[in-house]
Amino acid sequence: MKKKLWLGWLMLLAGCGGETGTLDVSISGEEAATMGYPVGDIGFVDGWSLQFSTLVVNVGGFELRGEDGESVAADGDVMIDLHQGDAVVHRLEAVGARRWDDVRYELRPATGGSRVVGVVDEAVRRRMIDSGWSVYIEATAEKGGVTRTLAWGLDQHVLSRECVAGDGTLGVVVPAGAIADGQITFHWDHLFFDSLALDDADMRFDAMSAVADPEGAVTLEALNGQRLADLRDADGAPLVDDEGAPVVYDPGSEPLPEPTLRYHVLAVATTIGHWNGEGHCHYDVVP
Amino acid sequence: MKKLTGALALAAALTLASAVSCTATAGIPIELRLALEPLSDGAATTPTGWSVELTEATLLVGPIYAYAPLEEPMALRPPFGPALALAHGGFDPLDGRLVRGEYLDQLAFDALGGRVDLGAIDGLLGEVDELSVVLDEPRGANTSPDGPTHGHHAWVRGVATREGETVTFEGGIDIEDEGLLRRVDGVPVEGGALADGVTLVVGVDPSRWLSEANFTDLTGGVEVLGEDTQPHRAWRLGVRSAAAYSARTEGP
Repeated sequence: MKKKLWLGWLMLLAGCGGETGTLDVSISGEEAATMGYPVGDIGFVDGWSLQFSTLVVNVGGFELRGEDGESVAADGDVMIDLHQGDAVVHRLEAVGARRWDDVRYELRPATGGSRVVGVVDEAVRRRMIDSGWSVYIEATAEKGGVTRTLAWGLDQHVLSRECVAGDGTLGVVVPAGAIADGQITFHWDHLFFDSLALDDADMRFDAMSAVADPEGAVTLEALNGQRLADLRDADGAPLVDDEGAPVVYDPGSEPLPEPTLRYHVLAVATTIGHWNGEGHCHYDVVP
Repeated sequence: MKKLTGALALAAALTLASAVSCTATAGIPIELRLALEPLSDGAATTPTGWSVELTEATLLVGPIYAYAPLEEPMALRPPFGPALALAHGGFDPLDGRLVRGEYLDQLAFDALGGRVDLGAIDGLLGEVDELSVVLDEPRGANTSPDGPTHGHHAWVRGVATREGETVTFEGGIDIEDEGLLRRVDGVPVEGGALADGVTLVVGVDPSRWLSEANFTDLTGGVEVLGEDTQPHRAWRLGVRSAAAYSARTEGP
């Protein structure tokens, strides 16, 4: 991709106005979606491992915008199970060869019109549509012989806009007569971050495990039983880390409806969307 | 996923600096006034059944920034994208926002007292819809142990009671300069239009400070809310939540 982009820059510099190129847009859950955590140096600081079995997202509203008001949009929503792997979801052809400063997309509730890319379990697809979910996760977490299961449906509707590419530049460059690659990247570690105020937040699961039901299931509703400033372990004692320090989840200045772990997870879930790997976006929650 | 270390605080400073610098190049200056007001008497009942009453609640407030709506970008943008002072798990509402009102000083605000009118501040004509309050480190006389916050970012004193138990407490809180810890972002502004003679009124609600506190492990006497206590942890989250603040325009 780098070679194609350099060619694009050269052609742009040569003043090749009016020419077009192609942009392939893929969606990725990175290695974590297929391999779980820990992966690389990313993992839970409290010793848990987690494996996803289903990881479906519904994404729509993909659009390129230039500062001059020009825009190019992809048609419709796509639904993809990222546990099955990444996939190209849109091919935008005859796109102006230029930098598109504002890449934007929405993580939004699935509808019957959402186009399935790859394989999505039909029961999951229907449930997402009926429940208005944009994300559906099934996962199993393990630590020290203890097993916990997650089955979370999230109804987040988030506009990710003005996305920065992983190299720090705005948006994406589409080179003339060539194909550029753009990737909507979802970072699943965010769901387990203990802070919205610090960049080097830690992934934790102990507080979630503590509210599992007798069958080991951790529901989003059960996370309401964990107050962020007064987290408890399964025995009701103050939750501490390996060094004996109290565990605290910090939502920063985000005004949660209730200061519980459930609302912390919902808040941090608004930031899972990225661009081209590590590129951040502005995140606007759509009412 | 890479962990960004070190750059975040610098990016935050750059973002704040760029936000301030933009006001010199865009908009019509107006005579804007600033006031702070308490939003409650500080009383709260916690989820663990403690009734909290405050006798002292002082907070160092400032700088304060009021922003134009998102659809009004800054007049100048950095060539390679905005300075994103992001916490990886959060977002930065400062980025790309035009600042229409700013107070750069620091006030030791008695959150149990009355309204304080701070007089004229820098302002530009137009709509504002959000505000940030920075809980900066003590400056000048506010650094003194004998100062209004005893050298801390905030100071509190009060009594918590529950079913015959009574805990008298006091303490100070300090917020390190890391990530977004000192910034309270996303405070919505009611009213919204800044014009000559308008007062921007920022509210502080001390009842949010200890609303999640659990005094069970504090045994009596005058307990100091040190960093190792749960009430201190609760306070640290409460004072930094946008829910503990409000903003509105008033007049002219």
